[in-house]
Amino acid sequence: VSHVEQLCILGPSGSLGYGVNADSLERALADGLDVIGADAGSTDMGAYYLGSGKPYHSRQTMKRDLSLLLHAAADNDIPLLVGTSGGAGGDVHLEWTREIVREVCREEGLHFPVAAIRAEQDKQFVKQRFSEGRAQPMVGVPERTADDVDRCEHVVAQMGVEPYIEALEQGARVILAGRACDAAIFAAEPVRQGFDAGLALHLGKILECGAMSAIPPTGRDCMRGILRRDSFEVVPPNPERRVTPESLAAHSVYEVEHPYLHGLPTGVLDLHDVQFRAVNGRSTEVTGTKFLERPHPTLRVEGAELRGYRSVVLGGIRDPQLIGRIDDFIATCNAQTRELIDAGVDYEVDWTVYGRNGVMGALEPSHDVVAHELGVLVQVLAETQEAAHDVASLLEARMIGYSYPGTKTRTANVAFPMCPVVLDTGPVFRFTILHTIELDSTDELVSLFPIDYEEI
Amino acid sequence: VKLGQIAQFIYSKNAGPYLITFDTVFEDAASYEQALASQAFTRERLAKLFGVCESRIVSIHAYDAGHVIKFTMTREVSSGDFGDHSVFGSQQWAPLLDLELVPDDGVGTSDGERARTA
Repeated sequence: VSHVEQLCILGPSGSLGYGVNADSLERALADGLDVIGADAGSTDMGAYYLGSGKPYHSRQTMKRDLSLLLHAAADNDIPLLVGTSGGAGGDVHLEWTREIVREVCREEGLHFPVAAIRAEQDKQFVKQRFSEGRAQPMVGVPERTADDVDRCEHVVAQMGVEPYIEALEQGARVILAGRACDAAIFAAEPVRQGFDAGLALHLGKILECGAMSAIPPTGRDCMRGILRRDSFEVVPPNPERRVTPESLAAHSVYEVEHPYLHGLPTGVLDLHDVQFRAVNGRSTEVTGTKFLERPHPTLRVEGAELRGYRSVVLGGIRDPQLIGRIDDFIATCNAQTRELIDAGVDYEVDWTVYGRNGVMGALEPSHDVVAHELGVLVQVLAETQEAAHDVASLLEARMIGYSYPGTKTRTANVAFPMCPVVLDTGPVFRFTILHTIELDSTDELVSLFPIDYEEI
Repeated sequence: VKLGQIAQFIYSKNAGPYLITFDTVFEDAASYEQALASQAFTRERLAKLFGVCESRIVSIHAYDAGHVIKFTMTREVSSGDFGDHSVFGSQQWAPLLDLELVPDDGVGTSDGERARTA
């Protein structure tokens, strides 16, 4: 426990790899920084990245962002903490990120004690918690069993502040972590130094989105927080932005189901009695955040299951008569294709009709098609890429050849914007597991996340 | 009055892969209170607007400090799964622009107001 009165913490952007604003970073450093956090991922982009092991961001941009932050950390001797590396926080994403850090340090002559914290979980362990009835689905998630866990390609758990604190205690100055609670990345160093956990986590929840809580809002700019013993202040480094009590309060509800309560491994962040106070025209002070500890800690686990392989066809329709009978067009293409495919082959077809209800599907209240042209996206899901391609090719041919009474055209109903017309997009994944599991003890908050140290 | 005429921001976004949350932000307390006092933000009205059964609206909340009314809906298909048409849950909010704000008749309150005082 230290006796410093404040810690200045930076959230460089809403997601590491978006492109850090170098001017804002420089301004924040000039104003003073003690910690840099960087949230590099989420479940927001779907399960593909966890399932496939592919990174969400481009390597080039990630390297640029990491280079900026590593230099800031080295030049000012402050720790850099990264969470949910590579977009999904699996072991392969962590290794991808560590390799980029090694490359930057090698090329630019930087040296750090580095910790890599793994978040991927042994499926046997997770299955056992399911079998014991010690796993609860998140709101809206169907009931799942241990067998569902088994079908997942990768399962990760969201770490809290504890593994970060362990790595900091061991002297690590750059900490790369797999799947992590966004707020924990920023709260770990303050909690280690004895700052109030509620305030630290609340500030972390704001900083993980970059400048999303500012006016004008964006996830592609930096945000700086000043954490004190009984309050914190949020200050945008970019002079073109400001943070008001209203903008900060409105941001509290962003991307979450509940405006007051936010679950974390060891408790719940309670924003019910939070007070926001404008400090000057540009920044806002926050007091009153509470952290309600749980009697038993829990961890959120996420598992991605392979659903099959996808091939797609994109086309446009301008024929007014065909637009008027688009439902018959779809039904006919589907039926004619099914006849040509072996009965034993399972596949699904999903049609999206842009210009009618392509964006909202079943939620669309407007049922009239008034567009003079329609976009049609046909997606096929099958057990293999070959099977999906086969079905999509047959559908393409039916789309071209569809005929109806009174047609003015003799061929080629659909304008295809791309060659090849059938695109194979690879595997499709789903978050089958999105649960909280009960822990045996608080020791598991650290022991389930193995840490690997190295001098780079 | 329609919601789109008095709201500053309206947007939809994932709240995890299985939920979509809809936030309506008001510029001042007056317009926020006007929306809250109306019959607009009830499970019944929202379910009808989007053509879903009421059980899919998991919560409706009002947050005074931010002048925000939000509600959250379960997804039929989880984010990024086959058959999902909006990976981030974005662009699902447009029908809210036309949500009619019936003046307070002094009888009912919206679910949001109940949530606020609960």
